[in-house]
Parts: sequence; structure tokens; C-alpha cells
Amino acid sequence: MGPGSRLRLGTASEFGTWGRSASVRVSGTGDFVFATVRDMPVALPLADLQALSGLEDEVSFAMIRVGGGADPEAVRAEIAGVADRVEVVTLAGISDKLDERLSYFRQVAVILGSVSLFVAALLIGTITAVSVSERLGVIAAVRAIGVGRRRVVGELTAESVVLAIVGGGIGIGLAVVVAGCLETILAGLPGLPAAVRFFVLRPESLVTAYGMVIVSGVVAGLVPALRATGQEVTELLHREEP
Amino acid sequence: MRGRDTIVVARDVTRDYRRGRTRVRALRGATVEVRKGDFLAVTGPSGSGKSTLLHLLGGVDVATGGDVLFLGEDLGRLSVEARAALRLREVGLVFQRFHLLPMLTAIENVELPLAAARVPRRERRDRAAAVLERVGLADRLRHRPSQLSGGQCQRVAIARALANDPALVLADEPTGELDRATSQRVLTLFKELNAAGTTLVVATHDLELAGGATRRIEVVDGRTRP
Repeated sequence: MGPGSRLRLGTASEFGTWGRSASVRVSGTGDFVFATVRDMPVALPLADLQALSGLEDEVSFAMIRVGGGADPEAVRAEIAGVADRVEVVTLAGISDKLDERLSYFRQVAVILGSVSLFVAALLIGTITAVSVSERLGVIAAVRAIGVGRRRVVGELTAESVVLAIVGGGIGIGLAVVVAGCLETILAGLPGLPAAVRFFVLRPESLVTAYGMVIVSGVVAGLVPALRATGQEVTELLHREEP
Repeated sequence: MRGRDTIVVARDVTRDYRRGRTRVRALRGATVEVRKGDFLAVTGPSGSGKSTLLHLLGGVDVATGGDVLFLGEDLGRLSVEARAALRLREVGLVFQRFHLLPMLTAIENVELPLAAARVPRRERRDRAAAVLERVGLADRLRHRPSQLSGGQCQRVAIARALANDPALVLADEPTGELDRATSQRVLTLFKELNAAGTTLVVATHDLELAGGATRRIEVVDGRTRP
């Protein structure tokens, strides 16, 4: 359907029988951002809508565009003052209410993200610590040969950074896929405007998350590496050699 | 006491360790001189201080008392980094348990000290291949330690010790993990290396290995006996 198409509109009673109807021509199409996926909204000139519905002084929902320079909040307060049966809201007010509702969701997401980051750091730290403790003999031998402490620490830390880069990359990839699936499920919930998005992928958020995972990898690798190489070489050799 | 060809000399050295609250004296006045071309065996019972003496001679550790002069330099006066640099250049170390990096091939293990000494990639590959050929492992360059026998691993470790063409090679119980036949092959290799000019000090329980050395000292209760 597009501009020029003809469309038959009608009103239905609560028993499902047809009331008035009219044939209209589509003059244009647009997005109704507050419509749910099940709605089929149509915009009509007020006179046609009143003729079709038979209601001349009743509306359930009206949108007002304020003139240039007018403060929407002042207009809202003025209308609310004279029409006490009408709930008057501005778009900014709706947006704030939505933000307030979504802030719980964001808080949960931040908590989940922080827990994931902590677990990731713990896992990388554990893997590096186990891997370092299993190789104390080799570390001691390499240092005894004359390889400097800084170089050994650098190599061990690099291992955990590689773990973080690979693991973090896989994790963020998975998160993007799972977020896409959840978005599809949640967007299908009844009564939600089709334009509502639960998961918005922002490049800066992905970069921050990836950066934090890599920093966790550096810290998680650095600590066991410094601890292992901080010990006396002869002490380690005595322990590792029979 | 230091002659013209002296590589390292230890004079009346002592080494104390702390074990919790107890102080343990591992060496109580050991004296030894290693000259260029020596093949010196250090023997003695377990816990007598052989390994400690080896570590002091190679600058891995520092004496609590006495002096250790390596090519005329007092090791006790060098910083940790300076001793590490000296070991990298002048000392080759061989351990009882080989301590090869398991994820690296034989040639990569031998390249390790060369890489640490910032030898260019192509040169270090050529030098590592040459030294592995010298210890009889020319056909095992790309093998990882898990694919090599104990004797072959020890020969890779010896090749690693020789990679930087050090003034002194120190081996601590190099046959301790090997069977008799393999130990004999390691002894033969040491003799060949020594005949070619490599200076060796070997701490060992193995009387056959000690018997193959050109000189021998014994360490008993932290003191050296000629």
C-alpha cells in the first residue's frame, strides 16, 4: 500500500458488527513511533474522523505541536490547569518517565557487567597464577640464564593480555548476538511501541567494555608474574630441583 | 691467587640462608679457582653446598662472606641486573631437570638466550642450529621437549648453555634424571666440548661423570677439599 491506494475504513461495535464506513485515498505514509507492533494506525483529517466515528467533541488522545519559541512544559501546565479530566504530558515528560523505568534495567545491566568483569579478571588471574606456579622451575631457569626480570614479567603479562583479548573479543561478540536475540523477544511483547529499543549498541560502550577486560587482563597477569619473579632465583631453583 | 687464565675464583666464601627463624649456613669458607679449559667436577653428599657453590661461581647468587671474582669482576659489587647481563654473556647453565620451555621447539629453546642478548633473528637461528648440530641434534631442531627423550632434552639444555659462547658452563647434576647409558653419552659430550676449549664446572653425585673430569674438588659440610 502506498500513496494513491484506496482504503476502506470503518468503525466496529463492541459486538464486532460494522458501524459507519468510508472509502479514503492514501495521500502518504509515515512512522507512528508510539504505535505497538499490533496497531495499524491511520491519520485522518479531524472532520473526516468525526464524520466516520460520529463523535464530534470527544477524543481519547490528541497531540499538540507548540509554536516556535513556546515552552512545551508551560503549555502543558496551562492545559492541565483548565482541563482537569485530561492527562497532559509533554514528549520530554514521557521520555523522562521511560528513562526512569529503563534506569532499573540499566542498573541491572551495570551490575551484571561488573560481576562479569570481576569473574573474568578472577578467571584470568587464576589461569595465569596456576600457569605461573606450574612453571616456576622454568621461570627460575630462564632468570638464572640471564633473562631480566622485566622481560620475564612482560612475557607472562603478555600471555594474560592475549587471554583477555581473545576471551573479551569472544565475550563481546556473544553479548552482541545475545542482545540481538533478547531484543527480538522483548520487542515482540504486546503493548510496546515498535520504536522502543532495549539494547542499543554504542561503539564507545563496546570499546570501554573491551578496554576494561584488557586492563583486567594486565592486572590479573601482572600480579602473579611480579610475585613469581620477585622470589630469589636460587630459592626457586632449590625448590624446583630435587 | 688469580692467574692469567682464571675465569672465576671464589675465596673463602660463605653463604647463609634464612629458613623461617633459623639461619642455615650452606657454605662455610669454600675456595676454588676455575681456569680456562678446566673440566672441574664438584662432588660431595647431598646438602653439602655443591649447588650453592655453583650458583655463587656463576653469579646466580651472591656470597654472604668472602669474594667471588668473575673475569676479574667482584660479583658481590654488581647489581642484580648487571649480574643477569654477565650471566647472559659469560655463563651457560645446565640444570638437572633441563627446564626447557615446553611450548618451544629445540631450536627455539636454544635461541632464547640469544634473543635475550638481542642477537638478530637470522643470526640467532643459524647459531642455534649450529650449536644443536654440535651436540648431535641436527635432526631434532623442530621437535618440542615432549617429543624428545631425557638425554636429548639434556643435550638441548647443554646447547642452550653454549648458545652465547660463554666463558664458563656450569652444570648442576646434569645426569641426575638420566639412565646410565644416556649419562655416559652426556659425559662423552662434555669431554668433547672441553677438548674443544669449553670450560666446564659440573656438580655431581655421579662418580663416573666426576671421574671423566680433568680436576675434582669435594664439598663437605660447606667446605671445599681438593
